[in-house]
Amino acid sequence: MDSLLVVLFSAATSIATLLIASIGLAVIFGLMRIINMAHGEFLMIGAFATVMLVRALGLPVLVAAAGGALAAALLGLIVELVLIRPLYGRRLVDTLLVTFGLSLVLFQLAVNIFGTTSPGISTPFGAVTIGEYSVSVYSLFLIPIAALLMLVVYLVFTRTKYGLLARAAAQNPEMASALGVDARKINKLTFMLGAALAGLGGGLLAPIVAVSPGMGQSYIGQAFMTVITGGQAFLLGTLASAAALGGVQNIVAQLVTTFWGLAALFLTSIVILRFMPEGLSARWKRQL
Amino acid sequence: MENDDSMLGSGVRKLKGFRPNRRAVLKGAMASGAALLSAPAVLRAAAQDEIQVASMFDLTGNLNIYGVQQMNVSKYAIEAINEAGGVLGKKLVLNAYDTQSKIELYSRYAQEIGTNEQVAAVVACFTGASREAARPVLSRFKKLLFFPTIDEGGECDRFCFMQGTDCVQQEGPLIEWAAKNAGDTLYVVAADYVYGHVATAWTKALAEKAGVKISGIEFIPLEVSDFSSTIRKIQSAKPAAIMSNLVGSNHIAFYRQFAAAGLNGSIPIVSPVFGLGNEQEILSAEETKGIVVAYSYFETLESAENKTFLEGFRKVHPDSGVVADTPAQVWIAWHQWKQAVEKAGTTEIMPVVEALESGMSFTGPAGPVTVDAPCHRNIQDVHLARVDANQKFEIIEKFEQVKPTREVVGAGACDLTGADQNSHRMIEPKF
Amino acid sequence: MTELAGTRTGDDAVRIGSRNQRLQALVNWRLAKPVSAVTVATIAILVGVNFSLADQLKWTLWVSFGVVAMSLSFIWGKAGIFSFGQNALFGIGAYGYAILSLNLFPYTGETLSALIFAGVVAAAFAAALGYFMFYGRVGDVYLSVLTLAVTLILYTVFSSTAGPQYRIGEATLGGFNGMPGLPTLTFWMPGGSAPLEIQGLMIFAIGLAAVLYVLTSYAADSRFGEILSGVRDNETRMELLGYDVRFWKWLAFVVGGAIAGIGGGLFAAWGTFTNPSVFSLTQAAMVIIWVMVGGRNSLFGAFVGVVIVQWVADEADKIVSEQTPLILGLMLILSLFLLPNGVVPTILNWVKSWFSRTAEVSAVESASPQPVAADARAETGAGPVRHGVIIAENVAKSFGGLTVLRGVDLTFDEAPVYAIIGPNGAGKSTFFNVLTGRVSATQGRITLNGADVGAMPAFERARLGLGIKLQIASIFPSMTVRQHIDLALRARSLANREQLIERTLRDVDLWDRADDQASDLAHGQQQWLEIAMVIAQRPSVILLDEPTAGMSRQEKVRTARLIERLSASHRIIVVEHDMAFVRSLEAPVAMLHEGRVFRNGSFEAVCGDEDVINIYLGRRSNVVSA
Repeated sequence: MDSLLVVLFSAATSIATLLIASIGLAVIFGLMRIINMAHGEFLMIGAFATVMLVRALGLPVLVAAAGGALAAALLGLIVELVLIRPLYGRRLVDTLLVTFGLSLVLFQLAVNIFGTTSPGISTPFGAVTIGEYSVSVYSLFLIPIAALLMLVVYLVFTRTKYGLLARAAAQNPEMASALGVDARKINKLTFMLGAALAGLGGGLLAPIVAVSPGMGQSYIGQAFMTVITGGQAFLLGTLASAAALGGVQNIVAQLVTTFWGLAALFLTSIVILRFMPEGLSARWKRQL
Repeated sequence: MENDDSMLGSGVRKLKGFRPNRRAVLKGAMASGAALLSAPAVLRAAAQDEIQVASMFDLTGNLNIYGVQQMNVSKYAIEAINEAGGVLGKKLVLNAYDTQSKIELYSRYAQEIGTNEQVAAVVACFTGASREAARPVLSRFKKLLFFPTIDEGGECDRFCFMQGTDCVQQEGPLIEWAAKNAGDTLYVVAADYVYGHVATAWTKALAEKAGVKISGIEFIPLEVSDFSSTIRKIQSAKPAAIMSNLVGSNHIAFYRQFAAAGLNGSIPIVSPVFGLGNEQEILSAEETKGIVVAYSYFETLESAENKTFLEGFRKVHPDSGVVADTPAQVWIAWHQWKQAVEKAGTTEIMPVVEALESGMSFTGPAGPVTVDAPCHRNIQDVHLARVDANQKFEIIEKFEQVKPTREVVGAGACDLTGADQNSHRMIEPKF
Repeated sequence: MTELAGTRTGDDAVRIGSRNQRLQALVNWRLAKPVSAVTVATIAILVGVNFSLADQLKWTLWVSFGVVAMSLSFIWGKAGIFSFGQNALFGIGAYGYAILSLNLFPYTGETLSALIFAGVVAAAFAAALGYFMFYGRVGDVYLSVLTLAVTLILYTVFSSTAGPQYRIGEATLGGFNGMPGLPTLTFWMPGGSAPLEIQGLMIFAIGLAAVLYVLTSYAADSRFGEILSGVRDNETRMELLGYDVRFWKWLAFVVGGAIAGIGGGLFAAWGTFTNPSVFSLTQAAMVIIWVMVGGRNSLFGAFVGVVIVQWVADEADKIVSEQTPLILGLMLILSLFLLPNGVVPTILNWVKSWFSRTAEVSAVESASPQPVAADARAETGAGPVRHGVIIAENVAKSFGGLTVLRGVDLTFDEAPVYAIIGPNGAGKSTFFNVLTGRVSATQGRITLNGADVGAMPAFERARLGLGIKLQIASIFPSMTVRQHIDLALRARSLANREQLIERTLRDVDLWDRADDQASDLAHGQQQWLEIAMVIAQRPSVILLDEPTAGMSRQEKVRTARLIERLSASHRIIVVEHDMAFVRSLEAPVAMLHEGRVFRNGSFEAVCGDEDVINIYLGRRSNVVSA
């Protein structure tokens, strides 16, 4: 019984981790139709900022993670102005490539500044006993955090002026501009929001991994698959696909080996895309 | 003699020294202005009073937690040898290559080194994978290769010498310690590549001999950093101890997540690879306390040779962090080679090989080492150590002059002075 | 038609014209590319052998990179397929070479078979993956991501084959360690084998690359390439012309896969080693960076891109060592901003624009103006009058909860021209799309010349004689007018093709613009060009969706006359908004309203009907339902 519970919690943690790592990418892709290949690096920068804040100022992890989000948002602002904006209207592949170039640059800069591995932060909150098992409290904690994050993002996009304008501009750019929406300002905010979410994700994940300049790379592949499999509805679609892919990956890893878990994640994604080429949420009424 | 970073004075090809801390930016900016060629593209006019040697290590990429220090020590060794008069009266010139954690670059730079007739010897590589990319190429061009890392066995190449301790030399003591101090069940987590698999095969064989039962084995792909399912399985299996053969920066997360689950107090970890990348400094004291490792070299060894070695090294690289076993083996390799060349009187490969096989002893910072001719490995001291509360290694036991194994797990043995005199291959372990 | 100012006079013009024409002809000459490829390759070999062995090694590596880059140039530049996974096919080729050479070399003493096998196995993989992607109609963005996913999967899979049980014959896959100790490229000679040493391998590699280049550029300039260009420019139009675009994209992808695979085999032979890092994300991106820098519309640009990027990466490493990712990233960003088309096309454009300044002048002089055919009825319809019949029976269509068509019954079998009108939201466009096959009906039957075509996709109906002209001029901007008709004449033999092209273009008054680029035409002319493509296929039924949208009054008049001419030999159904235009057609009119046929009859009968007028004016309440 406790074994089953632990397996379920473990799966839920994997889903939460995948969600936290992917939501920033989903926002940018869903609203701006840009594939941000530097997403992993924004995550990494958030993680480093969080680690520095914890070690230097002794801030609690959550507060420091917010600091990580802020740092990533600032970087996102600069990137949007310098790299993304001049490329509006060009082929999709152009923004993909410019963000890929950016990811290389950010990676190397991080290596130059921080070294390849620097001391990170340990996982807070200790462990809790479930029957015969001992589970990290923080890993359980990520589950409600991920849910809260989704709720906050949902509220931002349904209750704030920015959110409504952003969704309108995404669905019908001409109409939106005819109504006086300043697309450039909206896009700037969207990119910053996506970057902030990535940075926050990095900050939240920093206590459970070894923070290094290359850590973004290990998340980008799975984040990608999650977002694309999710489809048009960038919030609920990503939620659905994180649940499907993260769940499959974790359960298979538990039953067989870690390698097969990874393979299963990719394969599931491909199968879904084969039958639903526009993603899980293609036919959904709600485009959020 | 100037020890200024930017001078070529001691015959070392300048490579922008990379240090794993924040001052790297400033130092790098200064040094890069004066940095010169790091890889020889066209043949230089060979100076008569020079001997060229080479090193290939990962200075960038995720394996550079190992490579940077290896290269630091390589440069330092060449400088020290030159300061002491060089080899056969000639100065050594080091050709340094950054393989960027990319295996194909090992293959490619090996080809470059191979076609450079001047290079006399190579100390290179960290993973067995990188060694296997370079060795066949170097061997084909008759270049001597010294491999400094611990490894899993199987190497059977007359032109290749293995410096690090092998699985038996390390895992034997570790498993015995676990049996004595923890219990008679062992759970194995290993990196999913050839080293991980072969080392695990050795673990199984050695565990059986020591009466220890293996309660589970798991192979983790190198890019994975989510160990939640592994940790759950470990708890299901309830082992007395864990044998960890995890490699690379992603795998450091295991120790963090293990501690987060509250298990590091109750289940001790033994590892033949932990510490090679100074993981004990990257993780916190809480997370690493009590991990037991086994190597030939530790900074905390007390000997005259070690003291001189460390003092000299610190003068040149004051901020480069702890010297682990693998970088120390780089030093030992260059000195063993130097010894052999001076005995043979030439840098020609066969005389040097035979000199190495002749049973000479070299006493370095890790104690005395002697080449065991049939397997081209060193007979060396092995120390058991434990991470203490200050994240330093505290030596708990010493095994003197442990013989290396000539056996390849499941596939016979290699005899480089007998049947395999002209062999240039790797015997595939069967596991 | 536009006139060029400042034209030269008389004899001068003719002389310049013919000299430039000859120059032009020389440059367009079919053999230009093979000759230049051989020349460049020979020079490269002669120069290369004088450098150090280390450099020769490096260049051989670059050649293998160039080959895979060229494969991406081909499928991306020519066919518009942006695949993130060319390096995956490269890697499969490398492993293919490794596996076969390790198994066969002890017996055959040669590895050429392994090199060929590398191409074959990569092509096979591309065929399977391509089938999955193109026949599954995966969209562009998702295609790139899918190919990226495949690369990542292969990386994960191959990295985890470390056990001894992962072997194929003599070859152990080796997991992350890879497969070392591969035999280098060895040829079979009577009396033994001839392994290629460093220099020999370089010469062979350059030669092989030249051969592949010639073959690929031949394919790119042939009809196959033209079809791929059409698919790239306007997939919908190609489909409506009757081309099975899925097949052509699949074929291009397989060809690209074979090329990439051979590059991979060469790479494995060069390094005598292969390992999973060839499937990594970095490697995938490198292929794209090479092509972006060199120019994705240029096969030769692929090699140029490799040389530039690799040279910069190597040199940068010497100056500012260990910063390679930074340098590469900056290069990519800069090339995107400064040279978005890549190096080679940018240079070629400069050269071309310099040439064409002088050539433009002569083109006006040398092309003699053609008189506009006042009454071209005698010229059209070379064959007998063939009016097809299309019938819609009880056609209904719903999109989710929204019902657009509620049972439309229309038979088009008597008059040569029919018109369909209706207010916004009546369902005209949906009905049009159901007839053409772009959308399938929820209910009902569509019969074309007796055959039930309801289940057929658009391109099959096109082959059965249904000509479709969409509302927005759907042409190929980068092709000439002549090429459009050429494409439309899919299956016709070469013999009367030229005549058919001329006849068709004369029909729409575009014969004098035959060699102009379609993007240079006026809007109305582009519409006629599309109509020309449609009639070139001699369809028995032609559907025109709002053909006069955006036209001037004059152009509309000419369009009406054109339709009248065409109706002599084709059944034409026009969906239209413009009432004056509909009146000028003198055709029976069906009016759709709320998804049903509301009125059906002559223009005067329908448009004089009070209920119809009320519907158009929005006074629904006044309408007595029919």
